Amino acid sequence: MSGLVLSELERLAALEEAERTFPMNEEEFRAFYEITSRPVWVYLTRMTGDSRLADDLLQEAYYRLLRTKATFESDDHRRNYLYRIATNLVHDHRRRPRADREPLEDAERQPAPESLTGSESRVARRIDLARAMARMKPRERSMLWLAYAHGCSHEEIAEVLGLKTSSLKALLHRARRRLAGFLTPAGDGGTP
Amino acid sequence: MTPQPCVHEPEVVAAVLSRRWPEACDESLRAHAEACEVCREVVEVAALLKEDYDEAREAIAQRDVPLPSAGQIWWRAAVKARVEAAEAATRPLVWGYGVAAACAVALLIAGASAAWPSLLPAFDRLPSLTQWMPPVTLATDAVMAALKAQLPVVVGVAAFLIAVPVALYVALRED
Repeated sequence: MSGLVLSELERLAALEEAERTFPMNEEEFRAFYEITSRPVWVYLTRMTGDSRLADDLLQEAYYRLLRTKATFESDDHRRNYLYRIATNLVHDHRRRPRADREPLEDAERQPAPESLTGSESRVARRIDLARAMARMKPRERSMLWLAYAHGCSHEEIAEVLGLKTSSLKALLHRARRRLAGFLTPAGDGGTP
Repeated sequence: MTPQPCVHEPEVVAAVLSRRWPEACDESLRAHAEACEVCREVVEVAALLKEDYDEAREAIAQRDVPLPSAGQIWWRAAVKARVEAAEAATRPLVWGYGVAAACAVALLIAGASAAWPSLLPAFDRLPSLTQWMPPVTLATDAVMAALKAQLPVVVGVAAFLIAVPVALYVALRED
C-alpha cells in the first residue's frame, strides 16, 4: 500500500468516512459479502490456479467495488459488476510478467493428498477437468465457469465479460465443444 | 459455420446445477438430452464444473487460512481509502515543493548572472593564487578561460541537471 501510516484516531475517522463515501453501509456490505465471497473466491482460484493470489484479488475486488461510483439496480447487478472486477483483475495479473507465477495446472489444481482417499474416479475427473480448463483461453474459462458452475445467464455472462449477448452464445458453444474435446480420451493429445 | 444452440440448454443447465439431473427432472427433458448432441455435451460439462465448484466451496472450510471476514475487508478498504485520499491530498503539496525548488535554482542562476561582472576581478587573480601549484596540464589555461567566460551557464546547467531529477523523484515517488 503506502508509506503513510495512520494513527488509531485516523483509523476511526477512516471508518466513519467509509460509511459516508462507500456506496453501501457496513451492514449491507456484510450481507452481500456473505452471499458472494465464496463463489467469487472459487472463481478467482479456478481462473488463476493460485489460492493465495485469489485471496489478494478477492480483497482488491471488494475494495474496487466499494470505491466505485457506479449505481446498482439490484444485488444481482452488483454481483455481476463484482465478477467483472474480478475478471479484470485476473486478466491484469496475467498480463503482468512475473517469474514466480505458477501455471494453472500446477499446485492448486492438483488434488489434495487427503482427497485421494475418496473416490478415485472423482479425483481423476477433477484432474482431467483441471488439465482441460488449463488448456482453454482465459475468456473461455471464465465463460464456461460462469455458465456451468455458477449458472449465470447469457446476459449476465455477457455483462461480466463485456461481450454482446448475441456473440456470447456462439463463443460459449465453441468453448464448450473445445472443453468437451479435451475431456475425451482422444482430445488429450491434441493441441488447443 | 455459426453453432446452433439448443433451446433446452437453460433447462438442462438448471437441472444439473440444482442436482435434479437426471433422476428428479422431467422424463421429456431427459429423453431430449439423450437425443440432442448439444444437451449431452452441456450435461457432461456442467456436471463436471458443478462438482468442481462444490468441492472447491467445501474446501474453503478446510483451509489453514480462512477467507477474511466481511468486517476485515470493510476495515482494510476504509483504511486504504483513507491512505489514498491522504496521498491524493499531499500530492499537490509535493509538486509545490518541486516547483519551489526549481524557482530557487532559477533565482540562484539569475543572481549569479547579475553578480558575474563583480566576480570577474577575482578570476583575474586566480592564476597568481595557483602559481605555487605544479602545472597539471597544458589545457589548464584554456579551461580556466572557458570557465571564466561561461561559468554562469555551466553553473546553471549543472544546478538544473541536479535539481530536476531530485525534484521529480520527490514529487513522483510512491513509497
